Amino acid sequence: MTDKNKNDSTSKAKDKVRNNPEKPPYWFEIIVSDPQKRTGDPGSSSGYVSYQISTKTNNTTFYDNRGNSESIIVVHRRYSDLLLLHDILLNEFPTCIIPPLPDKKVFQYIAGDRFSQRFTQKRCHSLQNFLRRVSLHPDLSQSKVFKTFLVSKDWESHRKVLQDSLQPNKDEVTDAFMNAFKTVHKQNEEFTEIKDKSDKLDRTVTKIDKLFHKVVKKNDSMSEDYTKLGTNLQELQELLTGENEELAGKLKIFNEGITQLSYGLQDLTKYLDYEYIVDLKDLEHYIDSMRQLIKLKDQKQIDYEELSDYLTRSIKEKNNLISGYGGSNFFANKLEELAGINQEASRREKINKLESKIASLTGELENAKKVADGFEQECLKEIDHFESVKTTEIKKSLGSLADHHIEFYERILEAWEKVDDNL
Amino acid sequence: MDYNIFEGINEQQSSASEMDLSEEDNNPFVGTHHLYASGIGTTIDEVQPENVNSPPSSSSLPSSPAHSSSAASSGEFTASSTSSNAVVEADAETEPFVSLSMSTTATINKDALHDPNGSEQIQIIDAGDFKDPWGKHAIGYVILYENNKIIRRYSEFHSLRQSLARLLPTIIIPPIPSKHSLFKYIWSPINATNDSKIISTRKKMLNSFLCNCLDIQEISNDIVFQKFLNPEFNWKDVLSSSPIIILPLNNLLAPPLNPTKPSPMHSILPIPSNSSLKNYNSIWQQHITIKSNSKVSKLPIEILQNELQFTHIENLFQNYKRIFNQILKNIRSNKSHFHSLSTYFAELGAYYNAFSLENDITISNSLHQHNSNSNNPMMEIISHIEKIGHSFDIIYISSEILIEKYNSVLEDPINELLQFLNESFRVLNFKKLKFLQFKILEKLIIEKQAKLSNLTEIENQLQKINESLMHSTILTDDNTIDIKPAEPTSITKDVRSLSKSSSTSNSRGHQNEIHIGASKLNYKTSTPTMNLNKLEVKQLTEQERSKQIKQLNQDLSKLKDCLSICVSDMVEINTSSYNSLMHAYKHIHLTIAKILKLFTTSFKAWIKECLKNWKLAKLQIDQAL
Repeated sequence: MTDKNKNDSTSKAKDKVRNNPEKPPYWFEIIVSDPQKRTGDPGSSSGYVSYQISTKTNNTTFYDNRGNSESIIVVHRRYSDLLLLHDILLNEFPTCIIPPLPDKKVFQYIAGDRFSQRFTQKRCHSLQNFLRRVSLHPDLSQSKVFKTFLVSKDWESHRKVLQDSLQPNKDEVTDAFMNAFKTVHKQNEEFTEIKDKSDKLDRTVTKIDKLFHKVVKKNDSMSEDYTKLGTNLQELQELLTGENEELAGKLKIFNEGITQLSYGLQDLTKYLDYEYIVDLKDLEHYIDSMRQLIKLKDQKQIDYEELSDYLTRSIKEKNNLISGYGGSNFFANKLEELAGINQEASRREKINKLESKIASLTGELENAKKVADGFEQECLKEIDHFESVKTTEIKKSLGSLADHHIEFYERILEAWEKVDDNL
Repeated sequence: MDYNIFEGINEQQSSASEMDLSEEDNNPFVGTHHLYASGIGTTIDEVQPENVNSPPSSSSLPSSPAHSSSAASSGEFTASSTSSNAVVEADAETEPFVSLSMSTTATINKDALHDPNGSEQIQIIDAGDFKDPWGKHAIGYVILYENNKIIRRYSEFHSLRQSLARLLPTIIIPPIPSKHSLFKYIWSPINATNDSKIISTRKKMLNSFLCNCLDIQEISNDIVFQKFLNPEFNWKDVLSSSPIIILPLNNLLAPPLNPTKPSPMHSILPIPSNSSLKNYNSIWQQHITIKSNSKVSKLPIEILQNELQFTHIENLFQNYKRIFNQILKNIRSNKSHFHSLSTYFAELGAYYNAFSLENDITISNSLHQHNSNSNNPMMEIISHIEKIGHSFDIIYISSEILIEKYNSVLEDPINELLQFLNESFRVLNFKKLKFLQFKILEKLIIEKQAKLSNLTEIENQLQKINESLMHSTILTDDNTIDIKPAEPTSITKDVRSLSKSSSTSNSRGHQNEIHIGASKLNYKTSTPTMNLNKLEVKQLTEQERSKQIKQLNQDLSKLKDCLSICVSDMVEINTSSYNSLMHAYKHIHLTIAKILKLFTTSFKAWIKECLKNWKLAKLQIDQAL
């Protein structure tokens, strides 16, 4: 049931983890920026968006022949390149929580606004989150493909090779499908708790995300209101010019405040929309990736449990045969008797068969147990890592949320202090 | 100076009003109307010097006057007999005024648009439920004025305002909050417990109404207004006594500055329809383009001069109205957006709190199995998220406070301004209607004159014919058909000199001597019937003709008297309305400035509160890092 390849890769990965400390040995600073529309091949009708990826690291191997750790490595990649990186990591590190990529957003492709600033800026931020998460992972950040991705000037040729190496594992898919309705019998308490909590967390984050969507929309209408109000005040000010210059002047000052408010709100909204909501969405996806891993772990455990069931049944059957007629097999035996089959001979044959089966099953079971246990250990480690990355991320994004709000309020306070002084 | 374009006119008017003053000495209530023209700033102090120094606080008052004043005002629900007064007295002591919670009333004074330094001449110090002798509940507003406490109901304010509008048609009466629609009232009747918000808004607006009224000389000197602020007077009695009951049904039929004393001529003035206001501009244009010598009566030069200013103000006010309406719409939509936004903040606050509790999905196992260095940041992050949630909570609260302020700082004052503008249009329309009245009279006179000259012409023709008949016996109808009003100029000249003399002399003294015939003037006469009259004329006998000529002469003299009254009314309206409009003009500008200032203050407070909170949150996050 478990194919050898996977076993190997799992144990390999396990070894790797054991050799490495919790934290990645090197630090990375990755910035994804400057999304630019590129015209694609002459054959394809539409172009694509290329993102600039700038990396700084203390891992000297990244600099190979050029530069030192002070310089920045800049490459240009498109979304599908990152997708490839993601898939390869997923394939190479089945026991790791692979950070998620932003949705493909098929709708935007159809609607044709995938080159819009809003779309590309949001994706830009999300891709940066992805790369940073990979770089924080002790194993993923050390992988060859990650380095190639960040450094290679000749990505095109690498890409073809990598694409070929990536073969969809159909077995796994069917396995997952077969086991979709099975649940683990003896779930580790820890995992039950993790699952419960991550479900709750996911719900809360989704809710906050949705609320911020609403906030963004409302902020837009507010800023629109202020723009309109500004126009009206402008008109009033023009009317008052010639009637009451002093009041006209006051209105002008007041209008300045309204304009600043409108702009400030727009900027804040942009941040919320382009960055904070993206952070939240990415967090949701990350939680999802983590749950995906737990599911995979569960599958391994289900494999083991089924094997163990099978073994128990076989042993039971063997015991029955040894102890005499198996109660349940009475009619079958009668039939065999009637067919003139030598009962004793076939019984012995069966027992032999079962014994060899039991022997191989016991071996398999041990193996499966090892796999499942190993997977579980890996999983817990991964979850711990996930937890620490998540904590850092939340801290960071909350900090920047506060920063942007402070910036907004300071800006309008300054504007309105001016208004107040001049009124 | 912003108003220097109007200065010249003001001077002119003040001199004109001085004349009026000396003429109208016999009237005790109206004599001071035009004091206003000499400047409002000085006159307030002159009129009520004792109020400025009197302490406005209610604490200085003994408690008994409060009781007696409430008794006096609740007395209006009873018959004013002495026996029921005793009942009221007793009732007032057992059922003292029930004040609303102080929280609603105390906050309002801060927002009030008036009150720059806290020493107010007039103030509504409380609002709440009180019971009349039959146990009927009503909301009363306690006015503190000249150390008296007066309780008046909203409906009494309403009737006061309506009465003032009728008494002072040329004055812009400050607005009060609009009445509730009947539907709304049925849906939820106003009572002290469930509608403290409405009551506090009303209290504030009524306070501003009273202050605005005191600002306007014509109103503060009006006997009805003074009775309203006098606890001795039962408002129902005031309403059912002079001068209110002797007011004419239409102010066009009375002297504009003294509507309770109409001259006999006033009652026969024509009433232009409101729909004719649409044609005012074209009629006015026509009037000023026609050569002056073809006019029956000349309008005084200041009316012609002021018209430009009136048009300017009207256009300006129309524009104000349009913009204020837009701004109001804008603010309302912004308010609702802001409100839903703050609701989201509240939800965010709640969810961040949940987030802080759920954030860490492995806490129990990290406590059990892992070292503490992975545990610590988790505890920190929990407090961060909590802090952010707290920030959103605070923003929610302060936003709600700001939204509340939107009502008191923006919406209510702008609504008040709009009402002021509409009031201004009422005054402007009154002025226009007076002019239209003048035009109707003028037209009538022209028609009558034409008819008269027609008749005299025929008379002359007939005389000539008779004379020629003496010589020849030929008589044809053809000769008479070609008759035209040959020389109307000579007649009009006479008429003009007549009207001039009547307008220069004191019209009021004249009027009583004029005998008014029982027959009403025929206003329906119009140009298309002229030809008909012409034909009729031929068929009239000599006797009838002379009778008609006599009648026409009578009518004409009456009409000319009316016209001169109308013109003097116009002069009065012109001055008084203009001053009132200028007052409103200044008031509007002052209010705009106040709105800007008040909003800025509230808005700044909101920003500061939010900023403080985010900074606190940020500080905590930074400390942990």
